[in-house]
Amino acid sequence: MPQVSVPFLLAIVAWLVASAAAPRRAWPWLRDLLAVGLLWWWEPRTLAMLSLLALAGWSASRLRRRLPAVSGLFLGVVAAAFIAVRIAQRGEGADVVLVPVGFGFAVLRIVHWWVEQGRGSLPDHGLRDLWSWLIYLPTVFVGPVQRFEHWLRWERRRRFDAHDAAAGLHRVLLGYVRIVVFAFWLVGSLLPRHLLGWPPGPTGAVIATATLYLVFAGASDIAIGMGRIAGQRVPENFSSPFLRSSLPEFWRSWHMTVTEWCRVYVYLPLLARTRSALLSAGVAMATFAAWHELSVAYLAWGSLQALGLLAWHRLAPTRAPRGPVGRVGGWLLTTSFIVASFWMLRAWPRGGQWYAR
Amino acid sequence: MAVRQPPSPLLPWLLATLVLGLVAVASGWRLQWDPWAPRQRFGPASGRILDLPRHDDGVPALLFIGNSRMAFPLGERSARRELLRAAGLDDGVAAVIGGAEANVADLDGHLPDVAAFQPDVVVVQLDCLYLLGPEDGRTDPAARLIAFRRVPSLLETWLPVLERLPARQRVAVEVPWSAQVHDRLPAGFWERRRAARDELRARGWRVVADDAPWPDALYRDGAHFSAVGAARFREWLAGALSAVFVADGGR
Repeated sequence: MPQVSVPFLLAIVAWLVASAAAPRRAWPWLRDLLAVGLLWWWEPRTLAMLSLLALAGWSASRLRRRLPAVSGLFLGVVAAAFIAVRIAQRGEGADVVLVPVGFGFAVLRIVHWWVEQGRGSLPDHGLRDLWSWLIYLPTVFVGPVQRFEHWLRWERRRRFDAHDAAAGLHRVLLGYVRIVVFAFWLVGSLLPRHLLGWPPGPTGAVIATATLYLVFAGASDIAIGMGRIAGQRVPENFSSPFLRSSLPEFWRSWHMTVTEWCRVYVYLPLLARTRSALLSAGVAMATFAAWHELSVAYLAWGSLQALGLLAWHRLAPTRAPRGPVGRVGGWLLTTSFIVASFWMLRAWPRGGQWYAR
Repeated sequence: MAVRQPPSPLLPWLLATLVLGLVAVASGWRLQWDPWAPRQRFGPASGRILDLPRHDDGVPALLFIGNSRMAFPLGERSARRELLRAAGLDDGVAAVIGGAEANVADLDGHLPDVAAFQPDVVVVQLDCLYLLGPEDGRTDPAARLIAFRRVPSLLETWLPVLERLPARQRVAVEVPWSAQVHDRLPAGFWERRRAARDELRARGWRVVADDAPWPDALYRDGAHFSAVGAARFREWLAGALSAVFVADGGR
């Protein structure tokens, strides 16, 4: 992962120095220059994809003023491109499919921008703002998915504050502690050596779930911290999901910016049209699952989550015990359900490119 | 009277972050599954090869070559030290080439670097050698991959390259297969595997393999180990290497 590399560490130093020392007018250039430099080093295709996406989105939005049909067409093209890439990734020989890093996040961002731009809810901005938002260094690799208008507002009112920057660095350090000490060393290396005699299925599921959480939460910490160093307020992405005592609470605190995207752009519009919570939740969870991977395994996993949410809504208000017993029981049930669903996901037979990587 | 601001605590946080990040980079910790791995960063053109440490003359060196099935479990330095001890090379250095970052198919291009490493022992992933070949035809996805990477035949190109290395011990390791992969291995697989093993033995290689399928739960996708599977694989490989070296009378 790029976060654990010397160039990224150097980029953090350069980010801090630039945000502290650069004159107000120079900051956007330095900010974009650092992002371009790191993307060029890590994977130029990502830079090309994001630039193309910005240009295409911007050109289409100009065209939309005269041809309203472009509105749906652009979304259709983005969705088709996303599905095509995901299908290509699934196939045999998928190792040769050139999928840029951050592709999924870029698709979520551009759809959000396109919809809000169509609604007229975004402040005045230019192509350069759109491009800078898409390549914004702290969030480009792994999110969080920051809403465009929030990003623009904080960039326009940006000023360097040493105490804020220190808090940002503190958060970056916390992210590295999560990834390096907890995910890599403790859960990824030390724990498996001591659990060799344990049943590999459940043990592996717990370790994989913990690693997934720690790495993504750590990467989000680094993104939020880097944003704060430069006076930006990148939204939170995780809020102690494994302390939650119900499935809806879990999904409100896990990968929050992506689940929020699904809620705003899939669940709510569908609920408004169909008045069916089951259908809306099912489609939203299926979208969330397919965004990760377009496969039967993920769709089954998404359906399981939707059914779990529905069951909770139907049963919990009347039958769940309240008080400390209810909370502990709810936590146990929720955590077991989530770990078991990840276990199912891992155990699902896959086709794929195991032979040559 | 002006209130004096406390000094900003930027530097300690920055230093702590850099130290921790550099420790992670230097330790070679890698994710079992890395969604951010550049998918095309392999081969000599990338200018990257995994972790070939410098070492003084006389220090024994062990080189592992394989694809990500073997490279991931050996990604950490501590794992390689464990295997060095098993091979009786406690004071040696070990390196791994493999995975997407330094694809083994491009080994020929890496040979100057590998030769400079002067490995005393080469451990190569056996299934990389026989699994792919031109006779699969273009309809076979594996052959498509090979065509994409412009490598005619791994078995033909690799052995001479590996045997040019000044190693005194060569070991071929079959990374164990999961039960679900066992069940869908392609036609001709077993014959090719047997032929590859025979050829390697005839050329003086030691072959280490476990033909029984391992539990699916030790894998994250049927082929690549999970964290628990990687630990189990390292334990198994250490035992196998130890047996090879004991049989050969130690160092």
